[in-house]
Amino acid sequence: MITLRYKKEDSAIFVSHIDLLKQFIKIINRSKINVEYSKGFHPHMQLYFTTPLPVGVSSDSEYVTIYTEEKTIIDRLNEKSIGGIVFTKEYVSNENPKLTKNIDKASYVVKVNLTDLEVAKVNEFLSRPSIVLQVMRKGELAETDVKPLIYDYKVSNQSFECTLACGNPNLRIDYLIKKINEELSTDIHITNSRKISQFISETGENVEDYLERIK
Amino acid sequence: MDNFLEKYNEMLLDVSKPSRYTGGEYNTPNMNKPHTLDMCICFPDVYEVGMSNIGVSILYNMLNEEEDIVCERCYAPWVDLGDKLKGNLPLLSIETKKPLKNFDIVSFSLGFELLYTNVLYMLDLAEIPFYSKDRGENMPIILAGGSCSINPAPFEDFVDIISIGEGEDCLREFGHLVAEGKKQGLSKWKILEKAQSITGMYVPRLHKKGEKVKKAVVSDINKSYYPSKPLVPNIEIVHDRVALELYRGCASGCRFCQACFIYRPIREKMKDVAIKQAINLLENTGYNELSLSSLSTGDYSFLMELLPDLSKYCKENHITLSLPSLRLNSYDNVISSVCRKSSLTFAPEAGTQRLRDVINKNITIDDINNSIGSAFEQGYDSVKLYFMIGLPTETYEDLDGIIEICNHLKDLYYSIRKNRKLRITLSTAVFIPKPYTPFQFTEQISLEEMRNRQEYLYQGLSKIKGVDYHYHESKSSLVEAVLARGDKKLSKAIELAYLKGCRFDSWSEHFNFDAWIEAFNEAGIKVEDYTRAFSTTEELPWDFIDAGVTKQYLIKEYEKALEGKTTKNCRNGCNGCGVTSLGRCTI
Repeated sequence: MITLRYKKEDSAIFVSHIDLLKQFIKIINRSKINVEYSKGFHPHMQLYFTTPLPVGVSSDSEYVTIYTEEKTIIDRLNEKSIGGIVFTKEYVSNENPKLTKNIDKASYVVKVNLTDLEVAKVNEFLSRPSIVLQVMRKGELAETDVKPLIYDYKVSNQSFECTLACGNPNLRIDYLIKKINEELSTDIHITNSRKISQFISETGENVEDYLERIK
Repeated sequence: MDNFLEKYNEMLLDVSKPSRYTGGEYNTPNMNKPHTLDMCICFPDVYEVGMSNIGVSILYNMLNEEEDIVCERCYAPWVDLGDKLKGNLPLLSIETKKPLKNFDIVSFSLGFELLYTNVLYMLDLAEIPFYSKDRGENMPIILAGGSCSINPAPFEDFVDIISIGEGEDCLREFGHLVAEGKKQGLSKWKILEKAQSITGMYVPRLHKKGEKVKKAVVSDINKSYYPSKPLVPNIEIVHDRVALELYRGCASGCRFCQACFIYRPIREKMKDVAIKQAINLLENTGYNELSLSSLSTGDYSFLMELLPDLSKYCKENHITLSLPSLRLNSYDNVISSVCRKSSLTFAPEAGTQRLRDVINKNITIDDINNSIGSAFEQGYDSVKLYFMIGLPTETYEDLDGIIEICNHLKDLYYSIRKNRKLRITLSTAVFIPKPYTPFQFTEQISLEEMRNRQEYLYQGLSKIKGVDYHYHESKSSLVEAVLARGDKKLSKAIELAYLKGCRFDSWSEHFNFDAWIEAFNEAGIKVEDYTRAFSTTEELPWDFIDAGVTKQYLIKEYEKALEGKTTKNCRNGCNGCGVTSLGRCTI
């Protein structure tokens, strides 16, 4: 099987996760790559994604695992891909890396335009012992303290970097940005945020290193 | 400029389904090629509806393959984005985010009368004046086409030029004419004057009263343009599959059906052309579902030769075949073995043989029972049935007929499927007398009578186990009838309705009947003037259009209807409708 790393950017940032899955099926069909189908009444292509990226956020490191015997498929996929989805690396392995289960952190970079005062305010906000977010869960508004889900952060006038929990539990970068804007009246744009890397829970290593290792 | 796009992107984050507006779809044509003409095709409903429209897909792809022409798209922004745009950003095209008012031609595809207010909605957001007379040289040429152009009177004051009939040849010629005119520095109206000589083109403000306008017809459907690389939408759309058009026109001659008469002559694609196009479509899009599309797919002459080859290819490539629009007397085991669905849809339209004969829906109770019985035997538990209420000469006995059909089908189901659970979904639409049909002369029943009949059916059907009854909203059917049969006086009403907040009238959650009635009143329009019966001798607003089928033929069909006499299917012998003056039927 192959695990592909891909970028999600430009017009594709607005494609929801479910729609992305359907797009991948078409991209693979167009590339004529032989993928295994599940058995049963309604056979479907076996594709395994990781934690969905919120709409509006770009990413350099998204992953999908597909069951195929073929190798060196990136160029074929890119030729038939949609605007904003670019495949950048492939890792062949014998076992499913089970990335959804194994990933627990992701790091982000957000382009910002903050005054010195705003930088100080954001730093102060993120250093508080608790940060409570209201999130819709199963149709009801629930309150969660997300401070433990913020692993580190660095704020400057032009850039806000952070590492947040990814998977289960999960802290969405767009929720955090929204909360910061609400509390501090800043104007940070979600569409300026980009996921840079993801990390494995057990070892803390970058997913890239992990995938190299299990090749 | 960057600020402009950033502003737009931020708006998109706060709206539902932002991918409706971003573009970047697979198979987007090259927008950067050197060209003279910038055209924007607008579909006045949301992306998911517009992207399912085959006609727009054909024209969009065709125009982009023409040298010197680049064609973009714009769909009606949903109300959330519309409210954000108003006063802040002008309406933009999808591909290059160019403001609509900067195009050379902006064209509207009109397939449904309840979309007229959305045309004004889009013009408003685009900052383009509504009326042709109010637009100067700096404003684009506004063109309208689509099936509604068969009666352009209600909206012709809003547009500069109307394309009647098939757009392939007509728009290609028009596009090149405008491009040439632009190069030569001709004025907009000089160009429009020249455009009148293109078959199918109607320029209301220059048209000489009394002159007929012939609709445009593509003569050889095997040679005419069909896209091989259609756009693949980034989000789920209404018909999320690739569609192959098999043939145009319909030989059945059902007297209520406008499509049947306005899309004649009947021209079928040869089997080899159809298969080649189908395979191209699938390979170039990556879709897992192919639909064989036409007004009555089961009647396609080459269906039984096409299906085996096509279904072999589909099975090998995990592709589902879908055959919508199957008539009740053409459904059979061969077809069902090729395309399994979760439910089947049939349209008997009327509950008794007497009424089916009046409307010339030539199916018998045996056809209904055999087809649906066959479906049950194949393992289907779920069936959708469509009927109409308010058909000419309809009585409550005919409504009883609908109830009887359901009862019988229920018994039939349980005798075949024993203990499983039946689901019959029965939908009734309100009959609307449409222009260019034999029933264009007949009246539409009153709102009160629509409700009475829906209630009557509801009472009768609720007693039958497994039947779920849905009825189409009567008030919007009334407005649809007025707009469909309207004259020039309607444009004022459409404008008033829009200014009162009407948009997305085809969406039940947005349809505002009270605003429409106010608009009619203020415009001096009496609804009854348009829902009444028209005499066969009075002049109708669309009589000046020659769509092939003669008015005498329509009158003859209408008189036969009133006598309960049927007309055979054209495949069994030509009925002399008159359309051969415009082109040959290939059947």
